[in-house]
Amino acid sequence: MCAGVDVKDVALPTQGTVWSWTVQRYEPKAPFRSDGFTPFAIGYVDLGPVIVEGWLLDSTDWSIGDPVELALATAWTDVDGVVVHTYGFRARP
Amino acid sequence: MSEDVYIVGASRTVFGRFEGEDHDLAEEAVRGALADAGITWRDVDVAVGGTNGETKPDNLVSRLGLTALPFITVKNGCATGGVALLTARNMLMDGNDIACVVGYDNHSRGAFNASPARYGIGDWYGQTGMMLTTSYFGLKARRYLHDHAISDRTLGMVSKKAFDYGEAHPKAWRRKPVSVDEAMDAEVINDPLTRFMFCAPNAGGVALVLARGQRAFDMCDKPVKLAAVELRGRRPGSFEVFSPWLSLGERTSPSIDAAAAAFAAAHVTPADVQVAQVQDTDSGAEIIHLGETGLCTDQAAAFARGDFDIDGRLPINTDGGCLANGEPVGASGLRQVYEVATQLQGRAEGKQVPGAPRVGFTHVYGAPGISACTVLTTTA
Repeated sequence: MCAGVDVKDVALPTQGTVWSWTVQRYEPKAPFRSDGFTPFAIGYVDLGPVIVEGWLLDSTDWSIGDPVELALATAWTDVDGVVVHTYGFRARP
Repeated sequence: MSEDVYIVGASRTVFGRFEGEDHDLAEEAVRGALADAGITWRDVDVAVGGTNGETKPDNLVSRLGLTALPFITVKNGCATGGVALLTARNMLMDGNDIACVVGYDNHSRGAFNASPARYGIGDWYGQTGMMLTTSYFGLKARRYLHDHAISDRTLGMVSKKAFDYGEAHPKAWRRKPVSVDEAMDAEVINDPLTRFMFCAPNAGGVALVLARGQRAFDMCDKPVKLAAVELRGRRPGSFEVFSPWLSLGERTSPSIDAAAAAFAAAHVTPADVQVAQVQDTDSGAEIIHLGETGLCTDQAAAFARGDFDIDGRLPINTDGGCLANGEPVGASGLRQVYEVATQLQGRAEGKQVPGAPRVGFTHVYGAPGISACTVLTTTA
């Protein structure tokens, strides 16, 4: 496999399963930003064509294989009041 | 024999917190290695220095002597020591007789704080708290233990072993024993890893003197042969730090490739190894690297049997490894070689492997997906 320059955007599936996970138990140093740190889960999610890293939302207790889906998450609030969002994955029923 | 390269002098500092200048550590190590080899700086033909900090190794000549020798600087993250050794070996094979290799660093407290831009990743990755080595170690360990049906408790066994060895080593940093239960029950840093399962950046220096051919035997009673030193990068399918995504398919690793190349070059197999060092930046990494290097195929059973203890089948990280020594990045890979070389010479400073081991192995691994492995053998 080579890294090419002739690339195009491809829409990924929005559902997948947890491939691995951990909990960020301590507050990261800068450049990390938040509106107040609380431990949060991070995982790799197997979407089929690729495994993507992202936040695992609403829980710090996960298992490999848990089904998840893409969701929007609040990352931090800028000084001018603009809420900055990031992507994450939440449990799907 | 004439083209083979040997370790004929070695020295390391105590590892830990250090208030002086980075070059103090490097100078102490170099002067120690020169004394061990019974030579002076003037006798050295070429030098290689490695650090992950901001100082310039090649300016050590202002302390050691302006002899006009070529002095190469390397900076390859956690694999710096291995790359420095490889570079020196190559300069000797190029016709020089004596090389000095030094690695050192003096890191501030806490986990490394990497800049996304330096790795070609967007700022968002650091801003959202994902650009951390510790979470990578947790994520990688979790998946590996899952894939290989290894219980979390093996992680605690790795820590116990490391601190048992560290307790006995006068130059290690963390020398207080930790039971498996203590390791398991300690504060969790990044699940499934607790604070006794991570090494921390700290300070230290290591230097080696290498010599080629007959010259080595003129200088040293028990030269240790550098039977192989091999460096490899990553292929598709490897799982590296700071990866916002991973590809599917077969999992590859630069450690698998570097170890296989080193064993092939030295004409030995993993089963021949009697003392070894593998990169243990965390307890999970040691388990993973024992497998990837080919040294062990059933880590859970091996830890349960005590295979890696000083009287076991294959003593591993006999100075306590990164877990007990901390990781001054530039020095760490050379610390491994120092420890295995002194084991093979029967003059280990901590626990000595019994039975006069003849074949040793070292492995470093680091960002952005590189590994360097050595095979060391006795010459008696």
